[in-house]
Amino acid sequence: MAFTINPAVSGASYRRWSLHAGLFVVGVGLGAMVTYAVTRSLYRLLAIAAPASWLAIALPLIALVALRDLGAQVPVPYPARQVPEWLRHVLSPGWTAISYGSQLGTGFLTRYTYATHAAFVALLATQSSVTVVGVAVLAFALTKSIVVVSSLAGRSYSDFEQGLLYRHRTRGQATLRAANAALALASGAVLVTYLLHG
Amino acid sequence: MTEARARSALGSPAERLLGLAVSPSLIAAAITVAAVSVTAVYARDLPVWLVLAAAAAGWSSAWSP
Repeated sequence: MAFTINPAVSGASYRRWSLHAGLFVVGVGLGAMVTYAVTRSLYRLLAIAAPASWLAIALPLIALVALRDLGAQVPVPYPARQVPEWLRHVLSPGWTAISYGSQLGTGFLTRYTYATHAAFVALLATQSSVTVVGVAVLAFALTKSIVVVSSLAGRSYSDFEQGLLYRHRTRGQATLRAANAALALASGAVLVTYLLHG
Repeated sequence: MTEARARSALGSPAERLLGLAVSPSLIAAAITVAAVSVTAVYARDLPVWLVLAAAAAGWSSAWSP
């Protein structure tokens, strides 16, 4: 994402880039709301029988992604694709930001990231409060945009690319995956308590 | 591309500081501290866990190779 919405790539001024970063946040939020609409519908359908029926979907999903983050090669319901690169060649930087944001925001249109995304989606579907859903989606959209606003470096695309690749060589990915797995499992346990005991 | 050139491509100290925001170790530490805090205070409060999971999912994806 930082490879796309960056002054070194779009050629935009930093002022316009700020607008693009804002549009990216909006796009992520919209994408997350689409996922919420779909999963909430599914949750309500299952809740006709019993709200706890949702656990039949949520728990296996959380278990699979947690195992994946812990190193097991288990299948996860995410496609092995990224946002199409050609989009940024045919769309203006603003529309590129919205397009990338919305596709990444849905979460299930691009490749797997971390277990907490599935936990986020599983817990979000159980919520009907506009405030709770709004705060959670906003938190997701803002934090997902950190990568964009932290990538200011870039006097040229080449320099920018190498800088970002250097960052990605820093150690700690296994620790990050373990932290995400632990948080996803803990969230799953809270979900069980919530749905079974209210 | 040598290591030195790659390192210099990160730019100014301010830009390097911003780069810390996507350090996997820092994100992992923040998630762990937040999760422990939530467990201590809001152990059964699902909306709090939801927001925590949302923030963790978003921030972690900043470091997605």
